[in-house]
Amino acid sequence: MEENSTTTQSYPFVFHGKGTAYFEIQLANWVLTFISLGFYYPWAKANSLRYLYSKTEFAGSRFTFHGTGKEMFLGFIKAIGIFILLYGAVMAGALSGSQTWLYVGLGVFYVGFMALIPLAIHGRMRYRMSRTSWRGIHFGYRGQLMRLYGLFISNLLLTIITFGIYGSWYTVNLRKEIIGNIRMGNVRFSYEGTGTELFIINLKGLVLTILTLGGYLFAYTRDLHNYYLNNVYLEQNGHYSRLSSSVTGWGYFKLVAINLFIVVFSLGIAAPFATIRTMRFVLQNAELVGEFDADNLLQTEDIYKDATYEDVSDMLDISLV
Amino acid sequence: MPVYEGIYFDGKSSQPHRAQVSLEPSALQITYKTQDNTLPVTVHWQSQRIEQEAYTEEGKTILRYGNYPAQSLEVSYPDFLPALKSYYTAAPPVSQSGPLPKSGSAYWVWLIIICLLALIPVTYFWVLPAVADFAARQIPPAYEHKLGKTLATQIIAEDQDSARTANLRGFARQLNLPAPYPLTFTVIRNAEPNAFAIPGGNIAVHEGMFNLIQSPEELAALLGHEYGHIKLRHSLRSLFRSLSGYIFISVIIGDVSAITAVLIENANALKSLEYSRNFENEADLLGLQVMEAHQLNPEGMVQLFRHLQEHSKARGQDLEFISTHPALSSRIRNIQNRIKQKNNFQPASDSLQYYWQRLKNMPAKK
Repeated sequence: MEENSTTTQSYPFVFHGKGTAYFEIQLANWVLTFISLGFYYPWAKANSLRYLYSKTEFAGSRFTFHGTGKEMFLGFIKAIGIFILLYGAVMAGALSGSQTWLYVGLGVFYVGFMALIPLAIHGRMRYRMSRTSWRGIHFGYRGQLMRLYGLFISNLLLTIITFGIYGSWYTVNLRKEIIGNIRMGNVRFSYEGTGTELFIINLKGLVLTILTLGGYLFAYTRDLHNYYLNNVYLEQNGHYSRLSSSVTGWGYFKLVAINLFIVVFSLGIAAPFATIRTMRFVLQNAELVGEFDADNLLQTEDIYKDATYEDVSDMLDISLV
Repeated sequence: MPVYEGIYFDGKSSQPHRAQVSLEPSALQITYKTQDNTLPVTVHWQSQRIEQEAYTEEGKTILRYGNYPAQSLEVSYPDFLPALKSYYTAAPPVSQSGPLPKSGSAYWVWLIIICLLALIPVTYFWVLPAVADFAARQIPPAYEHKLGKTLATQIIAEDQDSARTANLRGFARQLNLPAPYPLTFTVIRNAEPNAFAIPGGNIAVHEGMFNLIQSPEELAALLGHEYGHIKLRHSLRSLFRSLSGYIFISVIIGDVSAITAVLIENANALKSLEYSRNFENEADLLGLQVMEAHQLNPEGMVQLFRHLQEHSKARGQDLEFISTHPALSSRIRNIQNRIKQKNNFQPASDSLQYYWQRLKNMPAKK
């Protein structure tokens, strides 16, 4: 057995997805979703995620998405129910004809919406992580819902009080909490960025974007992207490694410009090609560097199949990098 | 019995094991050596419990087996999968397939997909409006009345001309318009010649209209037209149609990007424009019927549109493709085609004349 299996190395990500193959899958998904009046959605999502995961290679092995449409269907129905209730409250308020009830309805809607966000993040992370594996080792999310709520509410209040200035710290705190609770077998994730650094990136980005009449926007996006990824650390038996992303502003510009072109001129039909391009761009520019022993991860996480909030987060349009 | 080489993961660690895979009558047999190079370990996979990964590259096979945490096996020999499938025909491995079958039967699948894709526009342009219309008609009139009341208090409340309103109501009473709920006519202080109908039986006429129109027949045509919108429940129907169109498109496209959302929104707006053109023509016809019922000269409607046309020409805004109302000249033509044959009409009744004179000659109060 080799002694120094944990010397500093770099493990690349490779994305093998093909636009045409993914397009075929999505086209079939759309048709089936259409003829089933939307009820195929969870299966469509499972198909799409399975494809994207199985085409993502890390250190020579592919990721696997184990979720199924059947698991997500129940969550999908619940999500629809929750949103019908929320919209119903507004509608009922508006139709009652009384101002008071209208405000009550709107209040229920907005408070309900806000209250759903941490729940949706928590539920999605638990499900997604548990149903993702690499070399048979499952990911896991060990975050606690109440902690996330506390963080979410306190940071939101601070952000409001400071007229948004605290927003950078808010983002970082949320990332620390979420990423810090990710496990990949016995490997622990953590996020080591700070609010101050993010604040400087945001300030610089905003000022220069305005001064250059938007020209700096792509460099700003590049800075954010790299800041989010480069501060993700993995700890394995006391040895550390971290993600390293090397996207460029020019690369970002090309990605966005061509994707826009593809999506707009196909009226959205060719969106799967844009998705594949984005995945390739993000993954091909990323690697894991440091002391990481790809062959010695141990299975630690319990099985978890509850997909209730998987689709709530879709409807809230929450995306997690 | 051929033996294949593969990479085996035991589901407990990420350690890849170089394994010998052989097809045995009872089960798939996988033999590998543990890290410390001691005895070889052999595991058996019952064929019908093996799950095959759907999306792999040509020639590569990935299999999974067992309860959580699953074991997995990767074999990179192109002839392994066919051999596996033909060997265990009695209890084949489960293929965790995607929405598309693997090539071979793919031809007719694509044919069906293309037909279904063609169905999407058909649904959008014909089926959906019909469904939305049907749904709108199911809303009880009482409910629509209630909804309209909320809207009306916000729109009409602004600045009423109470004296003219009283006379307009008198005029409308003479027309005897049947509706499932009481109709409310209001004159609003606004110099811009305009009139509109709100769901639930509210019809509003701007004061400026009385400067433009010249006869009781024209006023009857105007009210008849707005009454048509209400009677045919146009506002509720267009609301349902545009809502259903919006939901339909977002279901089809799924979650794309914000850009397409904007595109879609505009496409949908263009379509509801098309609706309201049809609706305007329908309302015109109903207005004509009202005039016929009272033996009023239907030329009044033509006159009304001529006056409106002159007004908009004076202001240089008769743009057929942007205006919500279809070009007035095409509406005039429509009406003239309808009224050619009939010519037994009488002058407006005394009571209509009475209210008309009062409406027309009333000075605009400040």
